[in-house]
Amino acid sequence: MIDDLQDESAALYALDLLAPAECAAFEARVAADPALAARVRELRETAAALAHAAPPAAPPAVLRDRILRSAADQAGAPRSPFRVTSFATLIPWAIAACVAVAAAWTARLYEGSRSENAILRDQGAIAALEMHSLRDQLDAERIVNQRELTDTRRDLSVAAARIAGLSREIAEYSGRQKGAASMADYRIADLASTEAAKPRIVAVALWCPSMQAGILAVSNLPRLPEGKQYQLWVIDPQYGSPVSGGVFTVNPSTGQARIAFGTVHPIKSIAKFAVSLEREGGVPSPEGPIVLLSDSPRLPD
Amino acid sequence: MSIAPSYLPDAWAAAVSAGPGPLPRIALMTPELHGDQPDERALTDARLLRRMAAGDREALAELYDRFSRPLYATAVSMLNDAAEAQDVTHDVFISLWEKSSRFEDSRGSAFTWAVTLLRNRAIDRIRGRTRRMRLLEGAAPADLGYDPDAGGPAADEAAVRSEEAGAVRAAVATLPADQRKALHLAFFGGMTQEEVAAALNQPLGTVKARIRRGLQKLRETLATRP
Repeated sequence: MIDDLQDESAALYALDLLAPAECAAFEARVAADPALAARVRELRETAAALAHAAPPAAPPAVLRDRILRSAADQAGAPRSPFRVTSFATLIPWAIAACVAVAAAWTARLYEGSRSENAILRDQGAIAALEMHSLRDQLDAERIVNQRELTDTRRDLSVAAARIAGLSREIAEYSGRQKGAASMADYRIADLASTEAAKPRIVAVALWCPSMQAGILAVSNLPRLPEGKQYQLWVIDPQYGSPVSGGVFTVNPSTGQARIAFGTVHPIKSIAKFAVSLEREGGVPSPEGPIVLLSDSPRLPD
Repeated sequence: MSIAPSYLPDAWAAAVSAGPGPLPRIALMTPELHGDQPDERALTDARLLRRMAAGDREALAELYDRFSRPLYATAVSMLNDAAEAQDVTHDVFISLWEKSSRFEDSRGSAFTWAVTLLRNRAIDRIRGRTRRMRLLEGAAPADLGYDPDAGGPAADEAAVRSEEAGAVRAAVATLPADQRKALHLAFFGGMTQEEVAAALNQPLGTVKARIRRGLQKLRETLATRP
């Protein structure tokens, strides 16, 4: 049975309107609820149909050629039976290129050097304008980035306080509902840097199988490059690929973060936890380098 | 013999291989979706993607002929810039070409996948622009070049649009204006929930409800067409 709140979340999810944290939590619910998953699919198909409602705009004919040419040039793309690889087929193109170069050279000699100075002058002026434009753009980016950094720091501190408060509430609620939770209900794992040169990184993951939720605390993680985020992965042998636990950022000055996480799919057993460096917003399957890796989780001491 | 999928980086493959057990399927962050059987159009699209995965560039050309108009029109509506719309459309088709082997129609139709890729790329560009525009404090939001108050398609437009486009536009035109505006800002504006609420000067809860009701009504209308 899908309640109104879930249905609303499904509509927002279908239009990519959920914030990253909401999105991860909702995907976990979808993974466990086939009826909700079917509803999401219906709404995603409906949302995609809105593309047909865009005001008519025909792509230029050259776009089709450009795309097919790019596909043919793609390194590592699927091998095509139509790929031109024969040297013999290149000979007419080579001859045409030689003729074109010779014609251009002749024309250039004919024109002489009279116009050359004027062209160089124009090119110099254009280059100067481009340089000014680039400098302005870089200044703008720098100012924007500084503001965003300030905003992000403030958001992080608010989020950390909220997570701490929520963790306390969850613990209190859990205690009231089930009695005091035994530490035997949890699994703990230390994550170590995959680079021997960075032993200062400290990371611990705490996982509660019955609640399908966990907490990750890290410190001294390297500052993130622009456009990147750390992504937590849970390696469950029942799945063929690591299961995402969500993305996170760290305090740029301390490298610290503390996140409460769930997973996209239900977890039966955990072989390892891992943290990788991925593009902002996260990826469905790991693509970037592993930064942290744990051994098998153990019972707390 | 390694049990890890071959596309994984070596380090990941090693980590995954460390655990015992079978590999029932590739788990993605996108939830596994189950629904009705896709219609004939979706089946044809799926067949084209399978041919693309085998390296068939003619299949890519066919898929382009089927998808390019709505995708490009959506990109133009979102970005209001023909050159950027061409770049985004190009990138989407190249992504479909490169990732065609990963397509599974049980997760959704090929068209939905293509629209999702397109919107993600367009939203990235819109948000990149927004960062620069913050320098110009008080700058007005970009005109999306689309009038959400407009009703159904004009007769001459309808004549040149496909049957699918006509049906969708007619369905959109049946929505109340407030739902239509919210859906258009969300889909074509690349905005967050909060930005849609601010643009409409409405409480967030009201905007969420309008989006939900609008999408639901649109689904019902499209489902009942002949």
